[in-house]
Parts: sequence; structure tokens; C-alpha cells
Amino acid sequence: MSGAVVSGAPLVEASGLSKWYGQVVGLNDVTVTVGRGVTGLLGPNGAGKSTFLRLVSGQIIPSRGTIRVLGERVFGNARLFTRLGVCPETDAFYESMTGLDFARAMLRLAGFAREEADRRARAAIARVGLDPDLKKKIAAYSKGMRQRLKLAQALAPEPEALVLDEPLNGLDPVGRAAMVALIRDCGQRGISVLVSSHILHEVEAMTDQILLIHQGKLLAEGKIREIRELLDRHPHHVRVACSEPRRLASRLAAHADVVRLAFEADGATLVVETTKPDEFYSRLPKILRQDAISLASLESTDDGLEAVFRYLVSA
Amino acid sequence: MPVYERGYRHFEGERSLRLLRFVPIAANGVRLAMRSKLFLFLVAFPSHISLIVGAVIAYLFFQQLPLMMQQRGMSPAEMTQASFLFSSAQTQVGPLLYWTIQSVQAGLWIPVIGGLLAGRLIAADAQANALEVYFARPITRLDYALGKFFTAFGFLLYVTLVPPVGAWGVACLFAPNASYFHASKSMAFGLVVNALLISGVSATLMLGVSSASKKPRFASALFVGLMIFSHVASQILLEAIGKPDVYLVSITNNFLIVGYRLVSETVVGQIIQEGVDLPPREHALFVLGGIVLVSIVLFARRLRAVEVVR
Amino acid sequence: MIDAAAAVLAPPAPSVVRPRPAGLLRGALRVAAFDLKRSARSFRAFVLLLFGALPAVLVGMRDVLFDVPDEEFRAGAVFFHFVFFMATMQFFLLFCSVFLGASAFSEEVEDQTLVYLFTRPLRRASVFLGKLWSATVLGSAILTVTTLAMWAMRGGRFGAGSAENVPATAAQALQCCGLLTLGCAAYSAVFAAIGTFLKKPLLVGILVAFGWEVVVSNIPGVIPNVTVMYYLRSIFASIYGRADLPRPVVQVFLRGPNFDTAGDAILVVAGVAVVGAAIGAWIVSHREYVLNRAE
Repeated sequence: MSGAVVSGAPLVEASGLSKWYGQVVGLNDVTVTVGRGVTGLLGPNGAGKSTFLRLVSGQIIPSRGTIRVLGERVFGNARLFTRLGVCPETDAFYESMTGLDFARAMLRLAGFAREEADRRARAAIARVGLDPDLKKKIAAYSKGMRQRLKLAQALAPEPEALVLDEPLNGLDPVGRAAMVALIRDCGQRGISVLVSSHILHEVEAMTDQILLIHQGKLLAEGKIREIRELLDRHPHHVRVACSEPRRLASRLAAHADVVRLAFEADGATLVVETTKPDEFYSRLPKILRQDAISLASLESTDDGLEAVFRYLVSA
Repeated sequence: MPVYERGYRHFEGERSLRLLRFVPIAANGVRLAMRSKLFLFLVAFPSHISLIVGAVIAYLFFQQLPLMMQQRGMSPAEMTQASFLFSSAQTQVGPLLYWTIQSVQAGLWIPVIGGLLAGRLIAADAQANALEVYFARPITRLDYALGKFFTAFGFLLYVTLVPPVGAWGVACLFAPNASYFHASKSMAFGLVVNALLISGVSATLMLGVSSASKKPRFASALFVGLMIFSHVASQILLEAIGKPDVYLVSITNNFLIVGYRLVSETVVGQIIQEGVDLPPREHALFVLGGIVLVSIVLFARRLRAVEVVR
Repeated sequence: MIDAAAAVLAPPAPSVVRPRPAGLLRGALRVAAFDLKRSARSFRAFVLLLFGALPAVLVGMRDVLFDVPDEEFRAGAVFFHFVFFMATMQFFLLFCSVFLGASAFSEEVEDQTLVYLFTRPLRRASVFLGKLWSATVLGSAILTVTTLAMWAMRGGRFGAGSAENVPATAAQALQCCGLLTLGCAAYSAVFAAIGTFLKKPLLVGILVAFGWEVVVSNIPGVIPNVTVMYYLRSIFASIYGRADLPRPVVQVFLRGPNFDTAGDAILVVAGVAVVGAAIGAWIVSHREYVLNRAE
């Protein structure tokens, strides 16, 4: 089994996977099977995403447990990297090379012939939106260009699977949208992708399958829709700053989905806790209009990933 | 647009004097260097071996001093003259001993300590892109340079000053009375001045070398290479040609040549008697001045907050 | 352009042909070729070449600038061997090997570019061996070029002088280059192996090279046998024979026994090179490297 290539095997099979660095626990007893297709790995900073991806890409050895990628063992397995492309998080390059030289050199190291390496390198660089004929050294690249080049070197050998560690870091909004489209496109072309991020809506745009990691533990796995439903069942907090918060509060208190009302110290802000945020948002403008209450600001504190994690951790 | 945030206030406290803005940079550099256990160990222990050797020599000398006086028929009242008279001899506790200690420190520990430090000065900041952060503060390149200079200067001064002056201090304690101290304090002053010179020139050279590269290890290797290679070249030329001017090729030898005169005239006399001629002190000072000038020019040209990549 | 790129990057067919992962030696050669191409054009190679050129300048200028009083040296018979022995073999070889060897692998860790090499279809040992071979080739090339330049100028006046009385034949000069290559391979392997597990291999390398190798190899008795420099000197002696060596060099050899033939010495030095490379390769194959920016 250790030497065989298992076709159709899941992207990642981890069992009891743990990793610690001295006293610091990076990953704690993670058991998960990541299937083919695009999977998002979500978690706040320091959650263990990079540790998990380094274990998947064979850069580090598990302290405990086992991990297999595409049915093969990982650490020290050169054959695996004929099928797996890795885009690391670290912003490090051979700065004196041009982007094309770098991509080409990586392909030559992978064993491609000179002409083939050149052709693939040019195609990959163009695919990520860079100019293959740019004579600039990597040292002169912007952050966004460097990020794209990292992705290009992972894509160039046409791997069966990709591991992308925070690929959207440093990209402007247009670049992020393009990268999201590229990753989605890779999934549609049959390349399995495991991509990490801490921004929920960007991962949502790439895939509907996610893993949630928090403090080294796997909190949840499944479809985003299911996670969203979890969130919706959890009471939703909304901060409303208006001219007459007490009158607004008395109007809102009449509705069964509003479970809690609180006033902030400034006296002008009302915090509403509701179990049906969609209904609340559609009701609020009517109330404000009817009672001639001026709205200064409206803010939901529960739309982000942190809220999901807070809920999941507390649950 | 007015700032309504009540937490915002213009800073109305005291700022440090313009002239002292380099102090936090130097202090931070020292703190960071001392985080390295290896560096701390090298500065604290092996570099004091010569101090211990000097102290032992002083102890043995002053133990035997009454016997030597008796052998020469000197009375106890002549102890003052005796202790310094005998200490001028080659193997006794005199200028040659302390100058030798300082020479060993300069020849051995300057390359080692300097090699460890050279990479941390500017190259490490350049590698970490910290220069932009530094120069986004209200400091000039001169403040930065002085801060880094004094980081290196402090450690180098410690290893070149403490062992020889420490050994002299111990000898003063072992001496039968205070006359040894009074007779040799000008020599001690020479040791201090020489240590300042060695440390100052070495620290400037380290600044220049450290600014030459963004790779700390390259800067370290370059510094060590310059120190050792110049010495090797000087030895080769001395063997082949035998002229005293070739001493000037070695950076370390230039320190020693200047140090001879600073520490004591007697030392020079002794070395000359052994058949070793020395170039004039002015030539050595000229070479050291040239090293300082080249280092400053290199540093001034290379130190930029942002590197332009062509 | 994007359409053409998209066509190239079409979904892989069920039986996509990918290059097979390289074996140990082939993978090492790939890494060596990649690294050599970069480092040969680097600033540090230029600086090393400058350092190495200084002995050549010394040899070429000896009778232009220096009034050489010693009859033995003035004849030009021995200046080449003397400078080669004192400067090139006992200093520059060590300096080159320490600097290139110690940073061969550790530089990739420090620069955090190791991940790119470890995520290619290459064995981890190949990555180490390739970096080591690149350092050895570069170091040997620099040493060879500077030695041959020194040899070309051995007659003095930058080579325009008479070289008739200089017994350093072309064969001997090439043997010197071979000696340096062997020494570079051994030292680079040792320092590169140190670099696989130490954070500051350069410092340790300098202490080993100029502390251990230079100091211990000059101690009388059998203690120098544990240094590589001792065997290199034996090879040097066999290239020239004692009769042709200058006085200060002979004094070094009078201190202890030498091998009668260079064969044993060559075996020992080669053995050090192989063992050093094997140890480094084993460590890299079994050790993980967490890439964080070092302080």
C-alpha cells in the first residue's frame, strides 16, 4: 500500500493528526477526509491552517497520527509531487531571477524538457495574469505579482491536485476576483484544490465545501449552506444607532424573534438580538418610517467568520 | 476635516534631545545581540581567558618579588622601584604583558565577535525590510548609523578593554603598595586609548561591510575574510620580502603598531631589540584612516530605505 | 494569450504523462545545475574571485614592486609554491569552502525558498547533494582559475618575466588544482553537513576551519592526523618533493610524518568528502525544516 498509487483516492486522509512545536500545539487530533474537488480551509489567524497544509504538502512531520495525500504517504515521497502542486504562504523567492526564469527552473527541476518547460511556464504565467516576457527581476515585483507567480509555479506542471496556502494575500480586489475565478476554473477542469483563507465570502465564491479549523482543532466540515444555517439558528446581534432608541426598542419588543434588547452607554445605540435576522431586516425600515425615527448607523456583528467560530466554540 | 475622536491628542510630552536619538537604536541592537546565547557565551567567557592568564602571571610575579629583590640585594624600601623595574622585563608584569593581552583580543576576538555582529547590524535590517520602518520615524541616516555604530563599538570595546585593563587592575591589587599603580597609570591610559581606536575602526569597518549586502552571513564572512586575509597576506610578504612596511597590509597589525607607542615606549624598545623593525606610527594611522574613510563612503552610498532593483 | 494558455492547460487526460520522479543522482544533478546557474553570476562569487586574485597579483608583482632580498625567493623558483601553500591552500581554500559549503543548504532554509525544492518530484537527499555539488564546483572553479592565473604569472612582471627557473610545470599546476578541488569537496561536505542542523553554520565553520584545521594541524606529533589539512599537505609534498619546497614550507613538514605516496592521503580526503555528503543527505532526508525568518 505504501508504494502504490491509488487512483480515485481522496485528496487528503488524516487520522488523529497532531503537530506540536515544543510547547505550542499547532494541530490537535484532526481526523478528516477531504474528497476531490475544491475544498476551502477556513480559520482565523493562528488556527492551524498553515500547519495542516504543511503536513499535507510534506514539509513537516506529524507529531502523532497519520496523513495520506492522493492515497500516498507524504513526507519524503518524491513521487507525490508529480501529482501535487503547492503554493506556499511564505513570500520568498529567488529574487535575482525573472518570473519566467523562476517558473521555468521549477519545471526543469520537475523533469520537464527545456522546450516543454518554457511553453508551460509561459502559459502558466499568462494564466495568472502576468506578462511572460517581463524582464523585471522578482525583487522588483509588487506583492500581488509575487502572489500570482507563486500560483503560476504550482499550476505549471498541471498537477492532479493543488494545495494553496492563503493565495489571495496581498491581492487587490480585482486580483482577488480573478484568482477566485481561476481557482474555481481549476476545480471545473478536474484539478482538486485545497485552499486556505480566513475570509468566508471569498471561499464561498470558490467552493461550497469547507473545513473549519480553530485553535488547532477541526470545528466543522461540510457545505457552506449547512454552516450558514447553523449561523442563522444562532441569535443574531445587530447594533442600531438612531435618534430614538427607546421608542424603537418598544416597537421591536412586540416581535417574538427579538429575544434581547440592550442599550449602550452612549444612550443612542440599541443592540438587538434576533433569531430571524432576515425578517428583522425587512421589518426594520417600516418601523423606522412609521415612527419617524432617524437611523444613524446599522451594523451586524455576526456576519463574519469570527461569529461562526464564537458560536461553534461556545456550542 | 477636523478630528473629532476624543482619544486623539498631539503629543505634548518630552522628546529626546536631537543628539541622543541614536540611543534607542543602539540599546535595541545590544539587546538583540545579547539574545543569542552563543554570542553571550563568547563575550562573557572565552574572551576573558587572557584576563585570567594575566591575573595569574601578576599573582606569581608579586609572590616572587621579595625573593627577586633579595637576590639582587635590594632593600624592602626599594620595593616600589623594584616592582616596576622588574615589570619592564619581558616575562614580568609590565607593558608588554598588557599590550600582548590587548593584541590577542584584537587579533582573535575582533574577527570572532565582529563576524557574529557584522551580519546583525545593517544586513539583517535590510533583509527584513526594516529600513523602511526605521526611516519612517523622525530619525536621519546619521542617527541610524550612530546607533548601529555604538552597538558594535560597545561590544568590541568590552573585549579589547576589559581583559588588559582588568589584568592591570588585578596586578595593582597584588602589588605591595600603590606605587605600582602610580607608576603604570599612564600605560593604562594608553591601553584605554588603544582600545577605543581598535573598537572605533573595527566598528566602522563592520558598518561598511554590513551595508554592502542584504545577506547577514555574507556580511559576516566578508568582515572575517578581510581581517584574516589581510593578516595572511602580510605574513606571506614578510616571509618573502622581510620589509617592515608589509606589516601595514594587515588590519590587525596596524592596530598593534599604533598600540605600541600608546601603551609604552619601553615596549617598542624591546621589540626593536629582538630584530623586528616597525613602520612609523603615522603610516599605520594613515592606513586606518583610509579604512574608516572607505567604510563611511560605502555605508553612505549603500544605506537606503528602499532598494531600487534594476 | 489567455485562450492559448487555457488550451495548454486543458484538463488532464486520464493517462496524463508526467515526468517520473528523478533518482538520487539525477535529481542532484538537476538541483546542482539550477543552483550553479544562479550562484555563478552572484555578487559573492565575484567577491570570492577578487579575494582569490590577490595571491595571483602578489606573485605577478613580486619583482615589480618588491625588492626580494632572499636568494631563494628571488630566483622565482619557489614564490609560486610558497604563495600557493601559504595563501591559497591554507587560507583561501578554507575560506571559500566555509563560505560556500556552510551556506549551501542553510541558505535555502534562511531564505525560506527550501519549500520550492522540497515540493518538486525530487528526493530530499538529492536537494542536499545538488546544493553541495554546486558549492563544490563553484569553489573549485574559483580556486582553479586563481591558481592557474598565479601559475601564469609565476615568472613575475605579470607573466612577462622569465619562468625558466620555476620548477612549477603545467602538470604540477594542474595537480595543485586537483588538490584544491579535492580539499574543497571535503571541506564543503563537512560544512554543508553542519549547515543541515545548525542555525549558524558559518560561525561554527569558521571556528572549525581557522581554529581546528589551522591550529591543530600545526601541533607536533600525531594530533594533526585528525585534520584534513594534514593530508592535503601530504599531497602537496608529493606533488613537488621536499627538495623543491621553500624553507618555511619545509619547516612545516619537518614537524611530523608524511605519507610516502599521495594515494593514502587522497583516499582519506575523498573519504571525508563522501562521509560528509552522506551524513548531510541522511539528516536532510529525516529532518523537518520549519521555515520561519531567523532572528
